[in-house]
Amino acid sequence: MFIELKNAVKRYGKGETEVYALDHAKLSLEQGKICVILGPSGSGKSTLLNMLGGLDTLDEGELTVAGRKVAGLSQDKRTRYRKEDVGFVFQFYNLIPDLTVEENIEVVADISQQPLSMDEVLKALDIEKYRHRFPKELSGGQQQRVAIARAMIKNPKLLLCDELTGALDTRSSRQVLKFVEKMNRQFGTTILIITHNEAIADMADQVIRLRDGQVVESRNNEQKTAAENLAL
Amino acid sequence: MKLNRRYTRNIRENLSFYISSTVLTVVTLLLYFLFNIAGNAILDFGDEFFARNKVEDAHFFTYLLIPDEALPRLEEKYNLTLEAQRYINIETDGVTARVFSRTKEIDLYEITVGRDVSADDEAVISEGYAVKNDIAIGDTIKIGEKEYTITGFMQRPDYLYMLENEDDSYKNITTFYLCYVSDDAFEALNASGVQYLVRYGEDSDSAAFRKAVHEQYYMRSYTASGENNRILMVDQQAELFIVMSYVLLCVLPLIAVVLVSIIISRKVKSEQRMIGTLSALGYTKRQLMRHYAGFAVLPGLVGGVLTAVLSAVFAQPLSEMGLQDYEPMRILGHLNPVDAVLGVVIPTALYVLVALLSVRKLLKRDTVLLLNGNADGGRKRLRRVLASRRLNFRTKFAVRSMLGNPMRSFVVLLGVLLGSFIILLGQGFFDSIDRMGTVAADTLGSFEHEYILNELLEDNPYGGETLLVSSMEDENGAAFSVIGTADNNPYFSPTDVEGNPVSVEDGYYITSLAELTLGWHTGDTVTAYNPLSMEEYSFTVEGVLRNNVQKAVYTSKPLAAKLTGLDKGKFNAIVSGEKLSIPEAKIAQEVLRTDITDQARAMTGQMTFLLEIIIGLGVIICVAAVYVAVNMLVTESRSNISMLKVLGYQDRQIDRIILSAHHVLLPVGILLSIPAAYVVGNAFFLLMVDYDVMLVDIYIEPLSYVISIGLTALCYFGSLWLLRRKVKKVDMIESLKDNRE
Repeated sequence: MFIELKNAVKRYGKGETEVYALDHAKLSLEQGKICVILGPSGSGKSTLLNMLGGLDTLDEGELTVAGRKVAGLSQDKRTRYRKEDVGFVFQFYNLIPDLTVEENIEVVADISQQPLSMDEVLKALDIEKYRHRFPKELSGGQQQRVAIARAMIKNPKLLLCDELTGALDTRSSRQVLKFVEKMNRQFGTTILIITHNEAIADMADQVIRLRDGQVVESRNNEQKTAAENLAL
Repeated sequence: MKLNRRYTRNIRENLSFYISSTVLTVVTLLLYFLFNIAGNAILDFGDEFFARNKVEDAHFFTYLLIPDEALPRLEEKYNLTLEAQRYINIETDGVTARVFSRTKEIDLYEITVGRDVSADDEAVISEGYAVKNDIAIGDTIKIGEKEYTITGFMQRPDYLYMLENEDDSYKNITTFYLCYVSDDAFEALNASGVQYLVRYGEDSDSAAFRKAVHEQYYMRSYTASGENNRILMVDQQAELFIVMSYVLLCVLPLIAVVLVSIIISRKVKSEQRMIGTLSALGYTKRQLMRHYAGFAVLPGLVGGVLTAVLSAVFAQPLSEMGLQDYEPMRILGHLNPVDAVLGVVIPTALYVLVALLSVRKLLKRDTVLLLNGNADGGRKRLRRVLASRRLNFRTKFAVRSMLGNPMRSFVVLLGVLLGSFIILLGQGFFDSIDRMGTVAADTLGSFEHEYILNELLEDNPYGGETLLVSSMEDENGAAFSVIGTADNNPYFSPTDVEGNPVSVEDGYYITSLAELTLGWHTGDTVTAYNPLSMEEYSFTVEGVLRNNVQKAVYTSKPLAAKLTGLDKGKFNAIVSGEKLSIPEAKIAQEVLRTDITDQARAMTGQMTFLLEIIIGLGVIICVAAVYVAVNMLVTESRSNISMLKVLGYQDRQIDRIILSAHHVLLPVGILLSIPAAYVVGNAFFLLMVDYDVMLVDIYIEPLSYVISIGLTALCYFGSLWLLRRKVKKVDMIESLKDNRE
C-alpha cells in the first residue's frame, strides 16, 4: 500500500477538556489513485491531512507513506519528507503575495532535487500567460491553479488538497478539479482531497468518510465521474 | 469592555515587542535624564555654595598696597564690597601650601569634614588634596619648618577647580593645596602676598572702580569671576552636561518615539481584520480607538516609569562621576518631579496618539476592505519591481519586502543608524578631545617651551624668540589675548582660513575662534579695553587666522604695544625649542608643549567611563531597535514563514530568506550615521564655544570606525540571531489557517 495508517490517535487538551481529533483511525490507499476524504466540520479531516503531510505528529499509531514511516519522524526528517514527497494545496491558496506566479512556483523548485520543467507545469495548468502576475491580480480559481502548480513542480509522490474548492464558485471549482485530475493522469501522482463537498467524491477512486475522528466508511468508487461532469 | 481582556493576552503573545519597545523608550530617555540631572545638580550646588560662601565677582593684585582705611571709602563710593586677603605660598618637600588669612565678606571657606582650627598648631587643608594623598583628620602636616595637626578639610568657592596658577590649564591636587591656620599662627608666617576680593552691588560702576584703583595703586592684574577658570569650570561642567542632555533629547528620544510610533501604527494596521470585524459587529469608532490606544499605553507608561526609577537610582552616582576633576562637591543628584511626570506622559501620549490616529485612519476605509485585510493599499505599484527580471526569487523577495513595506524598512534603517550614530558619536567625542591636545599644541606654535615673564624686558640674554603678550577685553567684558610677534619667528606659521601664509606684522589679525566668539570680522573697526587701566583702544581687523584654539589678536610687537599701552620695544614672553636658563624669579609661568597634550590625555582618561556608558547604551538601542523592527517583519511574515515550512524549507533556509531581507540597510544605516555623527558632534562643540572652550573639530579615528561598524553589525546580527527562535516558533498549521491572501 502507498499509504498505510493504523490506529492513529491525536488528542488535544488534557483531563476534562481532552478531545480526540483522531480516534484510532485507519486507512490505506494505493499509489496513483485519487482519494476523497469526506466528513463534517470537526470530524478530524484537517488533522488527518496534517498527519499525512508531516505537519504534525501522532500521539499513537502508525503511518507509512511510500514505504517511509512518517509517524515518529523527527522534525528535521519530517521537513525532508515534506520537501521530497508531499505537495500541498490549501483552501485559501496560501501564495506568497510579494512574489509573482512564476516566483511562487520557483520557491518550491528552488529546494527540489529534480523539479519538473516550469514551462511544462505552467502549461499543464494553463497559467503560462499569468507567469508575471501577482496573486492579487488573479481570480480565486487562477490562484488555486498556481497553488497546484507550486505543489506539482517538485513532482511529489503525494498531493494533499485541503478544501481546495472551498473558496471557489462552481465553474472555477470544476475547472480546478479538472486540473487535479489531469495532474494525476499526466504525472501519476497520488492525490488525497479533503472536502465536505459530497459531489467531489464522484471523481475519486476511493472514498473515505470520517466522523468524530474515526473512519466510518472506506469504499472504492467503481464508476468514476470526470471532474468536468461533476454535479457541484 | 470584555474586549479589553485581550490586553493581557496580547501582551503575553507579543511580549518581545513590548519589552523591546519599553527598553528603547527607557534607554533613550534615560540618557537625557541622567545628563540633565547631573548638570542641574552641579548648577544647584554651585549656586548654593557660591551664595553661601559669598563668591567673589573679581579679584585683583596691585603694585601698591591699598591702605586699610581706603577700602571702606572705595566700598562706599562705588557701592561694592572690597576685602584684602593676605596669603603666602610655602614650599615643603616639593609640595606648595597656599596659606590664607581669613576673610569675613568674600570667598569664605567652608569646613566639609572635621572642625575648624582652635589652636596655633592646628590646620585645615583643601579636601581634594587630602583625599588624593590619603591624609586623614588627626594626621600631622609639615608646612615650612612647622608641624600642624589636621583638624578638618575645607573648600572655598574660588578654588573648586584647583588651579595653582590662574593661567594653568589643569588642576593640581598632587603638589598643591590650600591651608588655613589660626590668626596668630598666620601672623607668625609673615605673609607678604595680598589679593583684593570684590563683590559688586547692583548698580556698581565696575569700570570706574577699576580705573580709579589703577590710577592710584597700579593694577597688576584683574580677573573677573567670568574669566576665572577656578570658578568658571564648575558652571562649564554643568553646562556641558545640560547641553549634552539637550543634544541627546533632540536626537535620541525623539527618534525612539518616532520608531516605536511607527511600529505601533503598523501593529494597528495588522489588526485591520479584527477592527473590521468589530466595526461590523457594531463597535463604535470611539470604542475601537479607546481599545487600541490601550495597547499603546504600555510601552510609554512602563518605559516612562522605569526611566524615572532608574534615573532616581543612578542620578547621584552619575552626577558625582562628572566631578572627578573638582574638589569633592556635595551635590544632590535628584530627579525633578515635573521632569519625571513629563518623561512618563510625553512618550505615552505620543504612542497613544499614534494608535488613535492609525485606528481613525483605518476606520475611514470600507469595512469590507478591512474584513478582507485589504484596507492597507498602496503596495501594488511596488510589487511590480523586478517582476520580469531573471533574478533569484530570494533577491526579489528581499527587494519587494523592503520597498513594499517602506515604514518597516525605515524602522530597521533608523535602528541601525541610531545605534551606529550613538557609538560613533561617543567615539568621535573621545577621539576629538584626544586629538585636541596635538591640534592645540600645533596651533599655538612649534615651540617646546613658553615662558611668561613677570616683567617687561628690553634685551634678551636667554635665547629663544620674544613675544609681547597681554590680555584685553571687548565691549562686553569678554577677555582675549593680544600676541605681538615677528614674521621671522620660526615657531609661528600663521595662515588664513584657507591655509595661505599670512604676514601678521602689517596689521591686527584675529583668530577664527575670536571671530566666532567675539563676532568680529575682517574690515571691522572694533573697540577693546585694557583690563587694568580700562583705557579704550580701537583697531581695524586686517584678517582672520586659522586658529580655533586661542581667542586672540596676532600682530607685530610694536603694534601690540600700541594696542595694549605697553612699552614699545619690550617683551614679556619667550618661546623656545629647548629649555632656557631663565632665573625662576623672572618667570611668571612656564608652559611645556607636553602640558597641552597631557591635559587632553587626562581629559580623555576621565571620559573613558562615560564613553563606555554611551557605547553601551548605543549597543542596547541598536539591538532593541533592530529587534523591534525585524520582530515586526517576522510577525508580518508569519504566513510566508509558515508556508515555507510546509513546503519543506529548513529553518536556516527560512532565516536566510526572511531575516536577510534587510541586510542591505545595515551598510546604508552605518554610512548615514557618519555624516550624522559629524553634524551633531560639530554642533555640540560649536555650542561649547559659548562656554569659553576652544572650538574642537570633530574627528573620528579609523579604528573608531572599525569599532563602531563592528559593534553595529554585531548588534544587527545579534538581534537577528535572537529572532531565529521566533521564526522557529511560527506554527505551520495555525498561521496557514489565518492566511486569507
